[in-house]
Parts: sequence; structure tokens; C-alpha cells
Amino acid sequence: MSGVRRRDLVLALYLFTRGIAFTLFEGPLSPVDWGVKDIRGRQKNAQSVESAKRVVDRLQPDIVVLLDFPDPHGRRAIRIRRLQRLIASYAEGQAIEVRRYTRQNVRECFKGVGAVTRYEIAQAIASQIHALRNRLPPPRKIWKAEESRMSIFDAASLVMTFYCQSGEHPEAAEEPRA
Amino acid sequence: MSMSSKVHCYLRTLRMEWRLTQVEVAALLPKGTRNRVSRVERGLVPPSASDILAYELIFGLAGQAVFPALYAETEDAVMRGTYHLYQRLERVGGPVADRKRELIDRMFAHATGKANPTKV
Repeated sequence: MSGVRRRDLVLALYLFTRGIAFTLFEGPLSPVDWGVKDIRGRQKNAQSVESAKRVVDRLQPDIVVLLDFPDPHGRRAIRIRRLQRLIASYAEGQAIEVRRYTRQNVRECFKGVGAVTRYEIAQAIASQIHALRNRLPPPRKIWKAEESRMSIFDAASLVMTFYCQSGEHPEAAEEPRA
Repeated sequence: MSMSSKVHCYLRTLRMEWRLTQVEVAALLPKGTRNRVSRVERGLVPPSASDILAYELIFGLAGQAVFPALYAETEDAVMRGTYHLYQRLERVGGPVADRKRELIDRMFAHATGKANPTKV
């Protein structure tokens, strides 16, 4: 049917020490799927790559968004950097466009709503996206480990940055689907 | 320009949005099992008519919104059949054929989003 354009599915993968978080969006305010894969035990990278491959194969995205680490001497672990490269090359091998955004890009995207810290950005996302509202963990106490579900918001912030940089600002976007 | 979805079904999205497990959803369905909920979510099996009605009752959304791919597929098949019926009716006259043509016109109008609902 002419005049019908299919929405691109944007998948963000956020890699962290305890696993992989993913969010799939079909519009700035329309999440379709989200979750965290906890990776434990030995050979974390091999397990993580398999997990990421399964997510990509199941969700069939058009675009994969990853966090960029521009500073080679930055704090991000070598394992995570290597994992990032493995996942990006897998996605590219599947003819999926890969976009990378730095933390700075994410902060610039959320500057307009006054969100600077990761938690403030997560709060901003939760306030805009109904479906993720009840996934927001309470603020982390300094003596406690961060909750895994916080990484869902890190992944969502990457998708938001993608839409922000594509000119589809979340606030100017359409109403949530459901 | 209208936007269509690439997502075959929003069942998982809705289930997670309402923090329901597959077991809990299965318990709400007539003859539901966790395995069946999972298979429908992943698009491995189509939902049954009673599943579609049950999901409509659970989430308050029409089947079209929950299963867009199935709806599009069904619509395509129905419109194809309707077009063949329309072609056959072109050679036929009389009030019965006119009544059928009236329905087909309404179907085409509805499908192209120009429906003007009238009382039957």
C-alpha cells in the first residue's frame, strides 16, 4: 500500500558489569520491549555476545544503538569495550545500522529538561514513558549496589538520544501507543 | 502518511507494562497455558479467536492494536476476496447484486479510512 511507512525499530543495548540491558522502541515514546539479561559465571563476554545475538535475532531491529567510549584510557573496562565491538560487528554483519552515542551526547539530549545525573535522566524517562514508570528503582544508597533495572533506563536514554539527534525530540513526539 | 508497525504483536509489551507474568496471563485466558502465551508472544502460533477476545477484555484494546500483523494479514486476504467478488458482480444486475455492491463499497471505504458509518 502506497503512503504507508513502516516505523523503524530502534534497539539500544547497554552493557554493564553484570549483564546486558536492552530497550526496543518504535517511536520516541513507544517502547515495545525491554529487559535485563543477567550474566554470571565464567566467560562473561562469550555469554553476553550470545545473549545479545539472541536479542537482536528475536527483535529484528533496523538500528542498534550503543554507548560510545571515545577515550581509550577511560574508566570503562576493557572487557566491556571488547564486548561492545563484538556486538557492533555482529549487528553490522546482519546489515543493521549501528549508532554510537557518548555520555556527553546523552546529557546534551536531556539538558532541556534539566536532567544531568543518570538518576535524573532515568526520572525524566520514567515521567515521559508510562510503561517504564514502575520500573524506576529508588535512588541508590552509597553503601548499596546499583539495581540491574537501572540499566534499562541507561538503554532507554540511548534510544532517546538517537531520536533527539534525528530531530524527533521526545517531547514533540506523538502520544504513547498504549 | 500513515505509519504501520513492524511489531507482529504487542502482547509482551502490554504484559510487561502491567507487570504480569506469562503464568498470570495464562490464568486469565480460557484454556490458557504459559507455553501458549509465550508462543503467541513470539509469533510462533497465531492467537485463537477466544484468545483475541480475552486479550481485548484484559487490556481494553482492540485485537487490531494488540495483533497488528495478524490484522494486516487478515485484512489483505479479505480485501483480495472482496475484489474478486466485486469483479464477479460487475456482470450481474438486480437488487441483490446492488445490495452486495453497497456492502463492498462500504468495505473499501472503511479499508481506505474514509468510512462514513450508516445505520443498516
